[in-house]
Amino acid sequence: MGLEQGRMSGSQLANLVIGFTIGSALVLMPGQAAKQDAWIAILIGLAEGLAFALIYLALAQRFPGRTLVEISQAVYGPFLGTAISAAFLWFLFHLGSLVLRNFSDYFTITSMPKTPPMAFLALIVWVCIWVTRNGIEVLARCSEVLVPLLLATVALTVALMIPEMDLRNLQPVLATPPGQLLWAAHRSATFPFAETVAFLMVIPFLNNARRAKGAVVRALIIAGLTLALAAARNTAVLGATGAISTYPSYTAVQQIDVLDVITRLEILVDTSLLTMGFIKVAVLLYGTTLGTAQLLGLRSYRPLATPIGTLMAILAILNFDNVAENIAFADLVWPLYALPFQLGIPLLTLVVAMVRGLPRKEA
Amino acid sequence: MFRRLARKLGFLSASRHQIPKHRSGAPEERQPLSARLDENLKTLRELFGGSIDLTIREFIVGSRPDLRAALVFLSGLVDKGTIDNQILRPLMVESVLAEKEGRLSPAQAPEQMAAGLITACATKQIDTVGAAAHSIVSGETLLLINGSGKALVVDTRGWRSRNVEEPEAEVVVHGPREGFTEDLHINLAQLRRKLRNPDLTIEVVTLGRQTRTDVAIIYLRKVANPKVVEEVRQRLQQLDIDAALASGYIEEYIEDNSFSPFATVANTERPDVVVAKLLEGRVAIAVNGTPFVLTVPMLMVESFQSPDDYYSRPYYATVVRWVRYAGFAMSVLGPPAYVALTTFHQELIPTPLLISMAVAREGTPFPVVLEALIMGLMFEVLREAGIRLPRPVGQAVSIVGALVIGESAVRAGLIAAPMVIVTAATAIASFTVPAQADAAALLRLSFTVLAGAMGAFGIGIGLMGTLIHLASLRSFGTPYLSPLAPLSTEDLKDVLVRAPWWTMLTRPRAIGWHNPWRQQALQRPAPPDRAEKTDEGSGD
Amino acid sequence: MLAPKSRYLACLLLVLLLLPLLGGCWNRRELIDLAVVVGIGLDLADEPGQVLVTAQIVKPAEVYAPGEGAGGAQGPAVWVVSSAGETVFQAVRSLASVSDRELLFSHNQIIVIGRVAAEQGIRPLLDFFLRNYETRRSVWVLVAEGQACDVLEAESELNPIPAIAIMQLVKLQATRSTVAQVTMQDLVARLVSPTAAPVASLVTVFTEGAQKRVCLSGTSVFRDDRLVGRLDETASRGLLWVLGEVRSGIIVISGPGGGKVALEIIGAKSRVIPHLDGGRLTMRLDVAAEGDLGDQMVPKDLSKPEQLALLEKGMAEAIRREIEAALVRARQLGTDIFDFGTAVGRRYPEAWKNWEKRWPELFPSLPVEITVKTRLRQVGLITKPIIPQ
Repeated sequence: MGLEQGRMSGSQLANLVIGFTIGSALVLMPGQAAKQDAWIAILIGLAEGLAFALIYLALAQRFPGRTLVEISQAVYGPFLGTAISAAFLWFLFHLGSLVLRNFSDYFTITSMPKTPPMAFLALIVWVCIWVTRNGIEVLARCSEVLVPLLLATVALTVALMIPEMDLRNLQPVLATPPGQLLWAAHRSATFPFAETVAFLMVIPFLNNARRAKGAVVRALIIAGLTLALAAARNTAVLGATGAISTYPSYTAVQQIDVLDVITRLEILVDTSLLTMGFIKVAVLLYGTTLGTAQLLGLRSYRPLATPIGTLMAILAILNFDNVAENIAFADLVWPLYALPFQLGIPLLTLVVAMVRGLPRKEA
Repeated sequence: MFRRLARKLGFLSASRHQIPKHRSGAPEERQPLSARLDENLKTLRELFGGSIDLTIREFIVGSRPDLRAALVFLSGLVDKGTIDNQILRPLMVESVLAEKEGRLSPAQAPEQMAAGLITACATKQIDTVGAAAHSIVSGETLLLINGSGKALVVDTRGWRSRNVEEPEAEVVVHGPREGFTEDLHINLAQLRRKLRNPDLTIEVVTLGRQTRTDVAIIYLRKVANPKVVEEVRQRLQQLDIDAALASGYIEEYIEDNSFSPFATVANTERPDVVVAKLLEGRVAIAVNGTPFVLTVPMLMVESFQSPDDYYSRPYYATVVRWVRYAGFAMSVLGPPAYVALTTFHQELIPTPLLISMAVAREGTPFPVVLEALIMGLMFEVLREAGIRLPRPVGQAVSIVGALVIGESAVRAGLIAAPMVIVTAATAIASFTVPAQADAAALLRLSFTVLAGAMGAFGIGIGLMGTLIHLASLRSFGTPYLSPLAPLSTEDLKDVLVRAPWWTMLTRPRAIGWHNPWRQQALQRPAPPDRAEKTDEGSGD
Repeated sequence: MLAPKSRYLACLLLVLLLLPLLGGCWNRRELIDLAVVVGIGLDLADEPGQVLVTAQIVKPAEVYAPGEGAGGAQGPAVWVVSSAGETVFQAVRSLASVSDRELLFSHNQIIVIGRVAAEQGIRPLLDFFLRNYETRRSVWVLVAEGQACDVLEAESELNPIPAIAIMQLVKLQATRSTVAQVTMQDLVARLVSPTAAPVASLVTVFTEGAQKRVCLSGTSVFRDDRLVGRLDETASRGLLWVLGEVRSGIIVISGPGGGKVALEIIGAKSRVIPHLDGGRLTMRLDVAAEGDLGDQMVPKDLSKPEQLALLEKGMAEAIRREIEAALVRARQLGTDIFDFGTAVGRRYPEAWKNWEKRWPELFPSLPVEITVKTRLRQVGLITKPIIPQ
């Protein structure tokens, strides 16, 4: 430790987790493969994600005040520990670039096709770098302001969409074949719920370590319910037409029409992606930056924020040539690719730590 | 961002190291007074460079020609009646009587003898040239007697000062009508009168190498956070500046983050506001010579609170507070939103409105961003001219501005009418939150440029940057966004709403948490038959 | 920390990066460089295989400007322009060869599809409107009896912008409920359903003196995505009763003694319940309507409970006839305009898997049980007719 002086409270951590989990998921909507059962798939995925999160929490609680990088150094020794930490940091870094890519794709498709993606990326990454350099405290405070606003926004759109909803669109319930439903559920567990593995870099900075469990679990449940509600809302409004939409939430919110004046509220969806995506990228950038600094034994992580952030934006462009590749990756590769990082590393570390009896009490 | 820029400029930090410190003044000021009157008078004359208001009155004490004496003072700062009646008369006339009665012994040191004669209430002895000069410039009168190396300082300060008036910058409907004046002592007296509690502590430091201005640190001993008090004291004592002509001079030196458009030190002209803030646990800094008193730590939400909120009924006060939030949002986002809507997000404008806007814009030559910037600039120019000019002329300027810009520019097809409306609405909105008007103007300008480049996305990025900046700001160690972030739910009673007084039981968590309880709980008024004990005083 | 010099460089780079942003040209479009499209028509062009796109564009200079006195335009403040292309998007872009301003589609109010084009299938025509980020799904879709471009060229008396007038006209149909009001979203919802048949409002051009006018004249019906026929106003309302979309309207029935009585519909609900009984599928249709006495041309006091009961019965009968007219027409055309298929699929998901493919054959012979409940609420400001008391 020592690299990060700031501390945050349990409710700030909860806000961060909510913002992180909702992140880009509100726009990309996990669980689409289950069609009208998407909301059920999300809830099952939430259960899976919670199970993963309990592993992360057990690990964090075993080594209070230490990030995953420090934990793996302690558990595996310097050589293997460095390798595993590096792999984990790559995961955070790569995930960050994927979120950034979703980000620029969304704004390119929905409103500004002629603007080069680098323009969006440069601005959002700049903001993320800025907040990373200011430390976890400032990021936590930002999330404390933004997340309640976002939850209010979702509630508002649901309320305004009630006239457009047809609850019959949610029927038949649970008609999706179980295999398809479970795959959709697993996908929504790997994106976004189990991505909270990134918080292994953040939880140590809680001012009261015992609050971690309650905060993370509560936050995941709130985020899961919000996403399930949004999925149900989209299905109820769009019915089968949701299946051909790139961004169902966007298309659904487009339908709002109150007195011919309150229309075109897509800007609310834009805002939610901008703010929550910001929190997600910032947490990932922060985790990568801090972890790299710890790995390299630097005295401060702040100077790393700019180069790592820039690389993240560049990787976002290099990730895919086109949207089709991105969709294929999200459909087929990610649910498996993410598992070693989301489940493998934390679980293995926890088991090895338990077997080796770490951390040894000095008494 | 600004910090980085300034670091590039570099000269700010360089100057700090190169200029040598000399706090205690020139060596000749520490020089002791001579026992010879003529020599002392010569030194003082040289020190003051022959200023015309330096008055030296030489005379003889009583009937003893050996006791030559002189009064030195600055005319204009002293009350001549006091000098006549309480110094000159006793020394010149009544001393003869005393001599006859044998009350004056020649063995006495001259200054002691004089002290026995003078009837003025406040006197003290000094023995250096520097102290002598300091008392003279403070409006005191120096009595020098030949043969003595000590001088007697008599407090004869008396000058015409402005009466206590209603402050012009902060007008309230229901509050007290008095405001601070330029005189520190009158100001402190006003505070004392309102807060009759021995815990009210006033410390004074003298600041300004040239001006030697008295600066008072004021706080409630059992309420204010001692760390903040110590911090204020240290920051003030470390100052080595030329002048402290107004509180603004000091404000910039004691901020936590000097490169922020947001004010992190609050100022007010109203004693009632200062007392309220002291009671919340804040520390006030009063500077002699200015009616604006600083209070720290300052929170963002303070800018949206007006004294009237607390003097009128809570429901309407809550509404007005939200009007202020909306006004601030409007003053920051008005022109940027207009630019973003008309040049990027035409789909967000209702169709009939879009068509009438298209009609209005037909034939105007400038891009909307440019139009917005021009109008914004014109507004700032008009405002500045209106403030600086004498009032009758200022009004003329406003009328000409309104006519020329509002009417003619639209008629000539130079500027579209909607832009004028947006600018005017923004201008009015920016006056709802005067405390942050400067910040709002800067944000408005930068958001307009961002909106012109990237539309709503640009505004969003700007807002997020602002949020990060606000979240990282601190005022004397207190997070600026408190109580929103870090969240302190009980303090939202004075942020989201203005709760009734009987529910405001605690001081703000971030500021006055040493002594959290403001008052007795359960004081909600009830009809007499159900009333229990409603008349209990406030229990600290 | 980076060395001051490289920090300076980084700062400079950032500023350089932002500079082109401030130039801002990618998606920035000034209002005066835009042509606001309010209506689009889709026809087949003369050249085979080509699409003719017609756009109705607002002319801001001609629209009555507030504060400029009563001057301004005679006739419509719009410009109607057409262009052909291999696909809709190509045709749309080709409009730029005649329009000196970039077209803005986000305020498009109506899409009119010509009859001939609609008969060829509308799926290929609509793809552009869903894919493009400017177009809205809340736009009204109409089918023209003739050419779509004629509809857009027609004028309107009360509104200088005819497309907006047509949009208002479609909205106003809620007071009669004799024309299906269909937005792009509704249409697409039916186009992605395997069995439901799309419908759209039908618009007709007629001439009045030298001027072209439009009127709404019923509902057009598609099989899959091809126009196959129309419902007249009676059958249209029959369709709306089933869909539960009747908002208001007038039902005229014969009163006692032969004179006519008009009842105003003030609200209706419907439920479609598929019922499977021993392998035999029937549709149960419950309609509940409420109405007021609007006017009567019978010189008889109808404000008595037993008289009102008679009127209620007559109203129910009239509604049933309207529904049956729609049913007959739908069976004739072999199209499931009521979306019974989806209702069955929701109720019996397992059995539906077998029926789904055969639905076009099953639907025409599907028995439908209609139950109509009506209730009259108010009789207005007078209780008795104007007869000597």
